[in-house]
Amino acid sequence: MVSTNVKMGMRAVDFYYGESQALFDVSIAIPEKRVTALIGPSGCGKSTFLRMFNRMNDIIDGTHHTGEVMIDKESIYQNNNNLAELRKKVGMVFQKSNPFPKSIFENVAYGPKIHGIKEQTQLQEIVENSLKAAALWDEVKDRLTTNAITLSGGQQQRLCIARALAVEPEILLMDEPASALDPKSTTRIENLIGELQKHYTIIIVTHNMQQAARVSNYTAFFYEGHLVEFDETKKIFTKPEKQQTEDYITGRFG
Amino acid sequence: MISKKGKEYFIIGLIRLATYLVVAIVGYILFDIFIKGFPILNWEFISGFPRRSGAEGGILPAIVGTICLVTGAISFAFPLGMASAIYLNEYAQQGRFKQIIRLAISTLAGVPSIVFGLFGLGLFVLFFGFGASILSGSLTLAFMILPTIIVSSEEALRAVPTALREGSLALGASKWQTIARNVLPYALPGMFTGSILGIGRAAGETAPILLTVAAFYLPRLPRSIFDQVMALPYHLYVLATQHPEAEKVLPMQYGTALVLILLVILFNLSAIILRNQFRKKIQW
Repeated sequence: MVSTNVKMGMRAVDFYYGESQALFDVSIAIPEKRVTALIGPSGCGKSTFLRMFNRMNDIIDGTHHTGEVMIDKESIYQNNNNLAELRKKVGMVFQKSNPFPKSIFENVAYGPKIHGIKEQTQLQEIVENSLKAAALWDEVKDRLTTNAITLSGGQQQRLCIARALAVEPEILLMDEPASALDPKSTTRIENLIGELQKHYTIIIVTHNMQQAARVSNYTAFFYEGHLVEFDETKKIFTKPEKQQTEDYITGRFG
Repeated sequence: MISKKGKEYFIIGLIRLATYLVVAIVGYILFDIFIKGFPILNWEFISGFPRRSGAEGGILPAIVGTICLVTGAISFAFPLGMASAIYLNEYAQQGRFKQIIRLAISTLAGVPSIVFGLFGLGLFVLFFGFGASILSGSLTLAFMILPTIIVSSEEALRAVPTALREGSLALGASKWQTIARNVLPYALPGMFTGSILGIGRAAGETAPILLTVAAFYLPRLPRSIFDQVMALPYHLYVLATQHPEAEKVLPMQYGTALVLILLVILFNLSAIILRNQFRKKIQW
């Protein structure tokens, strides 16, 4: 099924918020430098699944899991000391854009500074390259010192993408990155994802079927914490194996 | 039968009246003190030393004493309160232990100030051997205003959106890096607001300093933190109740009260200015 290298995956993962189980026996192998879309009704475990890969579920009290989560064939929950390294490698863009109330420059430079880059010329270079990669440079190059809060919603989300790119990740996790944006900004983000997949392995959660069909190479359908089906996007949208998948895609439930 | 609308007006009127009453009481107190205290307020009163056990002269030692105590109390209580708030809000897991800490803090807030005074006397003055001194008094006041500072610091931390923490953590920042760079800078103005309230209380309290630092009559300036000092609220108390010529020194009482109020306003004002300065820098 998967023709390219496997970048990351899970083996028999169960995940719990306290007593309530959110993921059931999930196993998956996600290909490198491809876009994988996660679809499914609200509360089906898509976001939980996504946040397993950069261990963002760790910050919620009372969560635990069993099974194995791997990136580059290494189990990421084994070593607790490498959390910073892991999150540097696995960038994340959130549903609601969360620019820091700092200047545009400081937003993008935040990650590199955390990881020890101090030299101003180097930071400037990183900021410029990241903003260019996020297709935002031309709009903000003359006002890098203004507060990021003053940007429009779409610009803010691209700034967050630039901020994630600035620490040179290999993987980008996107949790409904365009759900709060207008159609024009959404198109820009989608085009950007198309560009980024050349260099990054991308997983994107989306509620928008058309969006999943447009931007992704692979699609995973989740339902009530189970991974129902995972295959090439065109297969999922034309000839799904499971009845549940077909029902969801054709809008019969969810 | 009163109409529905009439009843409505009546209730609103009553509520409004209650509010005005509060303002009126505060206004009356301030007005009275200003009117009666103002005539005595001159350079000699502020910068002079008291004579004849406070019946004549100025109140400089009491002003300096109160400033020392307030500054001391804040410099102990602010870092301590800030650290506790950070621990409680950012690190401590939900559970029994955290509940116990919270209970302890709200209990601390409800402890009568004279009990703080006795506690300070027992612990700092006698046990640690600091004697009746600025150090003992500051520490005692610090413990008294600690709950105010912790609670408002926690509120300030809670007001910082979780999304900012997540955004920082997701970039590989450690928890402490996240707090120091992306939480604390935005919470500080709110924390200052809490300290403002603390300062007002620390400056005005009599009971805690009565047993730990305040001198009845000491017409000189302190030379170290182990010195005793006069303090405005205690001086006021002495003039009003302990002085042999309490009636005669009435103007001195009003003058002292006025200076105390002005001093608290000054503290609050500078804290507010500092806070606004921070706000301007943050630009939410």
